[in-house]
Amino acid sequence: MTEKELILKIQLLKEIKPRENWAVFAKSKIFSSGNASTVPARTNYISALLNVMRIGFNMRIAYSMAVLLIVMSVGTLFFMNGSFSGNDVNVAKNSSASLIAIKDSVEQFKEKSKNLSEAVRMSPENTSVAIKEIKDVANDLTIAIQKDPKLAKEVALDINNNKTYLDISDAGDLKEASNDLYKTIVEQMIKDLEKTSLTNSQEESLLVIKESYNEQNYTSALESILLLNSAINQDN
Amino acid sequence: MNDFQEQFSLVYDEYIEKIYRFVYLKVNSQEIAEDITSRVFLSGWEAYQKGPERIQNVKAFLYQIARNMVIDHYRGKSRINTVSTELTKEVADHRTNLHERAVINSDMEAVKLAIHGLKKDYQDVLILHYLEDMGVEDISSILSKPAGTVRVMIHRGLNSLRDKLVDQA
Repeated sequence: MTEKELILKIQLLKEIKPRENWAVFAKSKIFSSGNASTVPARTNYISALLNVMRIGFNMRIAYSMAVLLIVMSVGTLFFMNGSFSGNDVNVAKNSSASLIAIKDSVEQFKEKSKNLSEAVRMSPENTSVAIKEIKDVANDLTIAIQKDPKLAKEVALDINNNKTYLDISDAGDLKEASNDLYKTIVEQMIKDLEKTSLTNSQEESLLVIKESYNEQNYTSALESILLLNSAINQDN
Repeated sequence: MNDFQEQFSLVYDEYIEKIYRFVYLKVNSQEIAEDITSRVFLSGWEAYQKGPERIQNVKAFLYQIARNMVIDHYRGKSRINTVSTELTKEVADHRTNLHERAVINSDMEAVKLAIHGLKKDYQDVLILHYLEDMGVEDISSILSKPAGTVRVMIHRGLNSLRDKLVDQA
């Protein structure tokens, strides 16, 4: 091999480039805070439970529980919103009642999920039931966000903290349902960002997000939106 | 956007690809390269805000930070990681597949692996000279080594790379 051939081979490596999304967001993060930070990890019932569930359970079951838990928390949010619109004296009482309701539901759900996990282990054909459950709740969740766009951000944070659970590729219609859910969330959050005053680099980030959305890369768009929101919050 | 930010934004746009590539070729992992590269620019931005006039050569400054951070990365890794270096080549990082899928030419993959297997100093001079088109004087200021030494290192680095590629074939 001659020296010239060797040099040409080295120069092939110029093809190595960073991901465009990453480059834009890294820049945005650097300028927004002066201190590299990641999207703050939110600890909540769902993420804590998911960790426990993932240790012992079949992943599919963990997925189904995660999505159902989101639905439960969304339901609770509806419930709490309803309560808070009432008289102020009852707010604290209603709020703690909601928390107790969540805990009860979670405990019940854990118990039922264990039963379901056992059932699936004994007869794998029951997996399709779990998949159908996930699909149904994903659809319900999509409709809930369409009705009340404010929920999008809450659900997005939960999804991002446990982002793998809807990434199931081997069940076609489930994938479609989860895709619809991501799409609805991303759409709503883009609309919110369009109403927000952004810096130049944040505007650039929003353009990249829209590109990801147009390319139907909804999970990437969602992740980018959360990073951008994090940068905006640090600015304020 | 203030003046410093505007200026550093241009610096970022000009060097993000180069610094990322430099780091990536030394760590052979997309995730680690992204992490180190963002820290390089964060550190650069912090220094820039204190007064750009203190930084005589921005390019050399960024590469120096990148080089030091890669060294720190390997030092940290050697303290906490007991996996042998032979194994790490195989299990480097599944996410490099993202790059690997983009690599159409198998030659490119072979050179990447061969460079990763070179001595760190040889990696530096070959990447800076042949990939980033940097002159010997610039490299000499980044590595804090005399120009003559850099020339010798480039020559030896090329020979060593040729040997690695022959071994691979």
